[in-house]
Amino acid sequence: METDKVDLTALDPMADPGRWQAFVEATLARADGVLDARRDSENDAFSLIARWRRPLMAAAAVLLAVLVPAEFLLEEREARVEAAHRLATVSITWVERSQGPSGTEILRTIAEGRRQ
Amino acid sequence: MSDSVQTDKELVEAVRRGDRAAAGRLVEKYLRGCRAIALAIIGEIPGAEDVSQDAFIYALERIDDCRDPARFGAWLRQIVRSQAKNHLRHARVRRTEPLLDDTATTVGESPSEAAERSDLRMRLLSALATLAGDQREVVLLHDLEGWTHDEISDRMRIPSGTVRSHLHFARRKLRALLGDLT
Repeated sequence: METDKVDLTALDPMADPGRWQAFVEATLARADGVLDARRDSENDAFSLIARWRRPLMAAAAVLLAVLVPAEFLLEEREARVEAAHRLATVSITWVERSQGPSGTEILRTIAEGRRQ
Repeated sequence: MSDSVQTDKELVEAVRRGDRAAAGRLVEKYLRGCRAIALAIIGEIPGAEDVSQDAFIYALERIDDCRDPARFGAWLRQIVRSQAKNHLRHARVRRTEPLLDDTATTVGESPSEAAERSDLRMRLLSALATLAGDQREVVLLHDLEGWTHDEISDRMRIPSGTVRSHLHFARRKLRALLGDLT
């Protein structure tokens, strides 16, 4: 198959190695310029902020995801403690009076608990 | 075209860290192929070299946009094609770096030899210009750059049989046009 090749060596950049070398070096010089500019831009203040922005946003999102459910749980627990405290207070009053609660008192206590 | 020392992924990551040697390795590995692809589209050497260099620099400037560093070559070739077509559309020659004159003599070459070389190059380019775009690219990548059928098939995303067919018709036409030169 290789013998079928068309001779295109006149178009080969290595037909003129000096010229090709100059071209490669010119490309490398431009590439160096790009990398230098990249390094400079990575060290400026805006880039530093931009680099930290993403991890900070992620950390904030994690904190929110943890704190919001925790706050709900705490509030729920406080409400339960309050209800127990109120029931205890009412029960003590009934014991001190040495008499059981009337039907009206039981209904009022339940209704107050529901309102809160 | 495979690199046993450093993969394209490693080279691209090193370039992202500002590694000049890695950029140099990518230039060494891909610049010739980029030139051949640009030459297939543009049809003249100085323009093809300008475009391949510009495309390479463009790729380095946007190296963070290369989503799959392991396929840097494919991404780069896409940029070369796009810029070469753009170059043709605008039909203007942009000299990004002061290249040597294409017709200049090389070391140890007489002016008549240089003229002969230039004439030969012009005849080849004129003959290549008569081919369809894909045929031109295939014959340049295979017969000039030494890529295999499978490499061309993979990189141009065309079936291997189509590569062989393009190569066959391109060679036949070039031989008919150039006769003894080929």
